[in-house]
Amino acid sequence: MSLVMSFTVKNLLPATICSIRSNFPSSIHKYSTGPSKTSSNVLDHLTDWETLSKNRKTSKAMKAYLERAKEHDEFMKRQHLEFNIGKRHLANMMGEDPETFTQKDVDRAIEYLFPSGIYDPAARPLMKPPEEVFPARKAAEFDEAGRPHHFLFYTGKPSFFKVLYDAAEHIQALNKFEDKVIRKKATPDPNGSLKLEGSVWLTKEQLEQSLVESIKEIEYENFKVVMERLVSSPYAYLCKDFIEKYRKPLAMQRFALEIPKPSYDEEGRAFITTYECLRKKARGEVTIRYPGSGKISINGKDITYFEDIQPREQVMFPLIFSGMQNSVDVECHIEGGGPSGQAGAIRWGIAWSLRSFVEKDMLEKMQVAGLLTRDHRRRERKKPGQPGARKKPTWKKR
Amino acid sequence: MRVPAIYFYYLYFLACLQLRLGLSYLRHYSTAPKPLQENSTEDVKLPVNPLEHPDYFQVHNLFTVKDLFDARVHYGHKEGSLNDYMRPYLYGSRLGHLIFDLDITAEHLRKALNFAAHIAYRGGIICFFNRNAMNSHKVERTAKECGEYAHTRFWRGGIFTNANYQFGAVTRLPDLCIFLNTQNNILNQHTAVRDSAKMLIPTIGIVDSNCNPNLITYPVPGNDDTPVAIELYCKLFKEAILRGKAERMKLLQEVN
Amino acid sequence: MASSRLERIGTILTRVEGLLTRGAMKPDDRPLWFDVYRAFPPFTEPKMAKPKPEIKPIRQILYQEDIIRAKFHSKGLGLGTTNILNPNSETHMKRLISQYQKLKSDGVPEEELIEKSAEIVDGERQRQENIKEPKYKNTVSPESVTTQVLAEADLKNIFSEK
Repeated sequence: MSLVMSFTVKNLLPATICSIRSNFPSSIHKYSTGPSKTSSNVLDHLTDWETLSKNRKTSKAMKAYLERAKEHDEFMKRQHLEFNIGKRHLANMMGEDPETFTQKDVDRAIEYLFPSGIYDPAARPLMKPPEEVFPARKAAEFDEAGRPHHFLFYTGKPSFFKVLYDAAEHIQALNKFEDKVIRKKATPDPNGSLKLEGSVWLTKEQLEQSLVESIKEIEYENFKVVMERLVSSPYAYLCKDFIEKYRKPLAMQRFALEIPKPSYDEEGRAFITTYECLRKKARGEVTIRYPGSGKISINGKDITYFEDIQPREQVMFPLIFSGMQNSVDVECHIEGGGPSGQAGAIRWGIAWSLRSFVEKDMLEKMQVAGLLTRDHRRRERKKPGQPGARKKPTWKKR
Repeated sequence: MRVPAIYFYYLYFLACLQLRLGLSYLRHYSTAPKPLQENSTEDVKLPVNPLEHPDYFQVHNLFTVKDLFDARVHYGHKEGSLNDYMRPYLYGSRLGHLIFDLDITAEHLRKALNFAAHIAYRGGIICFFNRNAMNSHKVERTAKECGEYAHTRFWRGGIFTNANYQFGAVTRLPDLCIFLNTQNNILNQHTAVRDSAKMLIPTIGIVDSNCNPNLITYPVPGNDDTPVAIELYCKLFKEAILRGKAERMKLLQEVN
Repeated sequence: MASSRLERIGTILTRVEGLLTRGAMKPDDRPLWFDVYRAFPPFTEPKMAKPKPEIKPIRQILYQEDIIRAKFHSKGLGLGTTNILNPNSETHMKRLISQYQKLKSDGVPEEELIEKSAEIVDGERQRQENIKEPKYKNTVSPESVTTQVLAEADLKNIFSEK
């Protein structure tokens, strides 16, 4: 009974709606009632999968990708055209031959035509080929049927997890190898060893760059744990290639600058002059003579050139630190700035010149003590609306 | 306004007619009487519809109950952690440890293997899941060896439900998820179980006595922790998938 | 693809069927697994909201030998190592029980059964270990580090100061 009822209601309802809104397209009503009539038929008369698969070749994912690829190509083409026209205009403006106008000329022209005082070079006006300006598009990660190429695709970070997978694979292989060696009672290869002292694991940023994937801090920690475990195997040298892919040699760039050889004056004393000793607004040059007696002359005066104790200490510090206060003579010319700036400039100049007269150990100590580091700080400008660079006027709410 | 509607109807009618005719023709073609085919036409094989064969890929011969027993599939967890929905699959309790009825397990496993083989035959994407660190490498290797996919890592929310955004493009989702362990840890179910059900993806899952089998399409009651057991499951699923794929290759060659 | 994400309602099959019959999903766009599922439906419907199965007491699995096992365990004799990599290896308890039953059929009195069978099994195990040991000694290869070190070492005077 209920079945009959529902049937009649179903059939009646559309009719009533039809009569109420007669101007509405009738096809919609037909559509809404249509499936209920053939509801059982839809499921009984499905096309065979085999027949369907013959007709269907590309997946939706691939179709979408191809569409986007086409769009991107067209966009790049347009950009290229515009760039070339712009280049010709620029060449004409500069009065040069548009045919032989290179990218270097473009950069020069832009710099000339649009001079910019913006500090960050990335923010200055530029005109580059579109490939350099627009980010490269990712290649398709799946084939025509929509199947991803990488077996860890669904993890979202396939390359990173592939590294972990490979590491695990290597660890298992090494364990198996170790078992075999033990079972055979063979001796380990004395020549095989892994030298890791001179290198470190890639940092998180470097790893991300090499994998072209962003990874989380915890994932990087996991990476290090896995790699350390791999390295701890006594036969880790067997997968040296794999390990070294993820290591970077330690930077040996300390004292990369050549230490200058001292020249000799008419008295036969060795001397070194350091120019451009700067700190704050002070500029000057420092000459060190060896051997000497600890004489210091600053603009023709001795250490009393500085009236305060602090700048005097500053000047003496590198000499005392290296223990050379009695064996060298110091002569400097300094101008600009105040006493502390001048003292700082002289301090750096003395330390920089002393490099040629001290042992290597001392050099390293001086490096660690910060004597060989330049102080690039400058006075910060005053801001409008406030008394100083940072200072604000006193402010009270009420 | 009326004319297009009528026209549409006419087309619809025609399409229906064609569909029905084509289908009846196909049906007739594919449902050749079975005994005749199996007995008399050994050399001249008529194309069978794999769906009408009870075990087209012969997955029933992949394992025996003894194999399951040797791989310690029958061990469940302790009685206290039993999920009530797992009661029908139990054989009993040995001094507080639950024991699965391997006859039931074998039936379920055969069904699951058959389903996996069929999906592979149709070129579906199969994704393996496992959140047990001890077994995850094995699972990943299995996936690699049978040319399928694996996810044994931390599950970022929305990989299925928000796929087009997360992968940055329209993405085809797996057509079958195989869970070798349906729990995230001992307390929570893997989110992918729920997400697969949301996204209309069928699932096969090894459910231990502390798991909830309700959302798993083809649950297989059994031990999901022991490496030996996992190794057995991996071997079986790999073999089933490879059989499905081999048949697929044959089909593709026939078509071309 | 049109789909409903309400996993709590019905099963994936019923939801797809609903979409197909209502015309929201075209028959040709149906999921790949749909036909397979219909041909080989699972034993139970994968419904989220299912009534709980009838809760019957779980059957206890017990054996006749459990009494003997308990006797051994009460004396602290039942535990021993087992090689689980070898599927044919017998557990310590299994040996004890078979020994116990053998002795019982031989007519040994009830009080001595436990101790005697434990003694015999322990004896057997030690004998096996003794047989195995010399085997290992012979297989040491002459090139190995240990043999080289041993050959060079003056074992007798190893603690005497030079």
